Amino acid sequence: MNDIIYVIFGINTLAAAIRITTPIALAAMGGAFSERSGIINIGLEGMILCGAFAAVLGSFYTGSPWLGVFLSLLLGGFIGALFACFTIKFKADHVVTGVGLNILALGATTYLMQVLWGCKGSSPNVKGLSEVSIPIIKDIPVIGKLLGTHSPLVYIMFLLVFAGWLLLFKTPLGLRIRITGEHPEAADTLGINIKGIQYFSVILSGCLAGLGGAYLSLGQLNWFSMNMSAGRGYMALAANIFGHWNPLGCLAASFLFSYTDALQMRLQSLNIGIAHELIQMLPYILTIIVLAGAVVRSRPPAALGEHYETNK
Amino acid sequence: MKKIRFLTVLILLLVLVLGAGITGNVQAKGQVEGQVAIIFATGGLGDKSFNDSAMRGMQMAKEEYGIEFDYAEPTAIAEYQTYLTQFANTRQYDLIISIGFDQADALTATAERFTDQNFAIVDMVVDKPNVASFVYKEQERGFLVGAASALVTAKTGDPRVNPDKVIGVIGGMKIPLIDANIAGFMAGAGYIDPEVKVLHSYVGHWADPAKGKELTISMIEQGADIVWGAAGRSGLGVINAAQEKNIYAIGADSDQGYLAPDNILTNGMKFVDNTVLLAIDQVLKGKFKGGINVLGVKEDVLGYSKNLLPVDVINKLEEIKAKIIKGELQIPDKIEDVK
Repeated sequence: MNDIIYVIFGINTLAAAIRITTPIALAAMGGAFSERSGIINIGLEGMILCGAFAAVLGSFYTGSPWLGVFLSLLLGGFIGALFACFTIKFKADHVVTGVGLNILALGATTYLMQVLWGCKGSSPNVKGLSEVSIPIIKDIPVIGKLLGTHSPLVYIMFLLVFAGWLLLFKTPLGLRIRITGEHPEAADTLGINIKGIQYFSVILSGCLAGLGGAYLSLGQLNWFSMNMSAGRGYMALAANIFGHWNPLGCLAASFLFSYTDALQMRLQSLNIGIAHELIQMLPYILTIIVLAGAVVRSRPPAALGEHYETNK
Repeated sequence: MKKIRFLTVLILLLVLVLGAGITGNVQAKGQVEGQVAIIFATGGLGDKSFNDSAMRGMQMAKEEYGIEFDYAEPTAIAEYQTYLTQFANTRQYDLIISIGFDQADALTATAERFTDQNFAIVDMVVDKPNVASFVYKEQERGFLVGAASALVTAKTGDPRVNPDKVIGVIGGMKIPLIDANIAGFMAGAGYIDPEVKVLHSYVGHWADPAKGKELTISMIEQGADIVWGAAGRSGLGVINAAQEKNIYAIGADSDQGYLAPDNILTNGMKFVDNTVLLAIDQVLKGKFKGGINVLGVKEDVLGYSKNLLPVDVINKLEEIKAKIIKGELQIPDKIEDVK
C-alpha cells in the first residue's frame, strides 16, 4: 500500500510526467494555433515524426544537436506550409488532408532512412541534447528534483507555452487568429488578411509539433526510429480539445495524460494484483472519459473546418 | 476544377508507377537454385534484433545454397495477406516464410487458398498441411538470462550493480510468447536466489523506444540494476536508459552488445537466422513437411551471449544449459505458474 501511495505522489513519477508531456504539449499547442484560425489539424502526428527525423538528420550531418533542432523547426514549418497550401489554397477537406499527411510522413521518413542509412528501422546514433541543470533551482529540495535537471527542450517548452498563451490571448495578432476561426466574415470585413493569418497559424503549428519531435529523437533518445511518434500526435489532438484550444490548457491536459502514463508504468511493475492490460489502459480510458466529459462543455472555434473565400 | 483534375491525374500516375514498381520487383527473376520469399514482421528491418536476424539467415542461405530471395516489409498487420497472396500468386517460390506471430491469421487464409505452395512461419503455429511452423521454448532463454541476472545483481564492487537484489524485465506486449520469456526469467532468477525480486511490465508497443526508456527508468527508481528488454524496437530505449543511468541492460534476439558495450550484460539470443536456414534446408533437400517444430536450447536456436558476463557466471550458465538439454529442469511458460 505504501508503495502505491509513494508512486502516486512520488517526485519521480511527476518528473517522468514532465518528460513525457513535453512533445505532447508542444504539438497540442501547435494544434491550438491551427484550430484557432479555423484549420483542423489531424496532421500533428506526421509533423512530430518529420520533426524527429529532421532533428536526427541535422545532428547526423553537422554533429550539432542544436542545428538538428533548428532543422526540425524548419521542416516542421515546411510540412505546415504544405498542409496549409492544401487546406487553404486548394480547399481540401482538412481531416482527409491531415490523415494523408500522416501517411506521407511515415512513408517519406521511412524511405529516406533507407536511402540515407540503408536501414528502415532506425537511424545510427547521433549526438543528442544533454540534460542541463538549473543552478539555483536544482538545490531546492523537492522542486530541484522535479525541475532541476532536464533536457533543455523541456524548459523551452515551458517558455514557449507561456509565450504562446500571451500571443494568442494578449496581442492583436492573437485576436486576429481567434476571430478568423470564429467568424471569418467579420474578420474579412475588418480588413484582416484571413489567408495570411491562417498560413501563419498552420506554419507555426508545424514548427511547434516539429520541435516536439526533436525532443523525442534528440532530447529523450539520440536516434530516429520508424514511426517513433507512436500516437503522440493524436494524444496532442485530444489534449488540445480538452485544453480548450488554449496553450496553457493544452499543457495541463497533456500533463494529466502523461502523469497517468507515468503512473501506469510504475503501477505495472509494482504487481498490485490488477491485470497489466487494465493498468496499461489507464491513460487512454482517461482520455475517453475526459473528452466525453469535456466536449459537452467545450466549444470549438465556430468556423473550424470551413473554407472561407473573400468576396463570395 | 481544372486543378483538381490535374491533381487526380497526378495521384493516379503516382499510384501506377509505384504499383508497377512492386510487381516488377516480384516478377523479374529467372529460375535459379531455389527461390524463397520472406515477409518480415511489422517491426521491420533495422530493429537490430528479430527481423535483422531473419535477414541474416536469408543471406546465409544465399551464400550456402545459392538461393535467390525476395522480401517484403509490411508496416501493418493488415498488409500481411496482400504480400502473402502477391508472392504466392507468382507460383515461383519454393518456400514463403512468414516472420512473426501476428502473421498467423493471414497465413492461414493464404495457405488454404494456395494448397500447392509451401509456407513456413516462425514464432507461431499455423495448423495447415502445407505450413511448417517453427516455435521456440521461449522460457528456456528467459531462464538463462534470468539466472545470469540473479548471479550478477548479487555481486559487489561493480559500479553498475547496486546493493538491492532487484532485477526487471520489460515486454513489448502482453502476449503468450513474451510472457513465456518473462516466466522463464523469473524462474531462472528464483532458481539461483529466491530472494531476488523480479519486476515486470509491458510497453504496449513494439516500436516506441521513448516509452521503453521511461519504463526502464521507473524500474531503476525501484532499485533494479539489470533490466531485460524483450520489446522489439522499444527495447532499444531500455538499452539507452541503462547506458544513461549506468546499469546493466540485457538485449534480445540478436547480439546488441555493440549498442552499449559497457552496459549490455548479455543477450537473450534467439537465432532466427539458424531457424530460417533450417526451414530452407528442409525445402531444398525435399524434406519439407507441414507441422510443428518446437525448438530450444537443445537445437541451438536459443541461448545467451557472453558479452560482459564474468567467467564464474558463464560456467554456471553452461551447467544450467546442460541440464536444460538433458530435460532435468521444468521451466514454466506462464507467469502464474512461477512460484
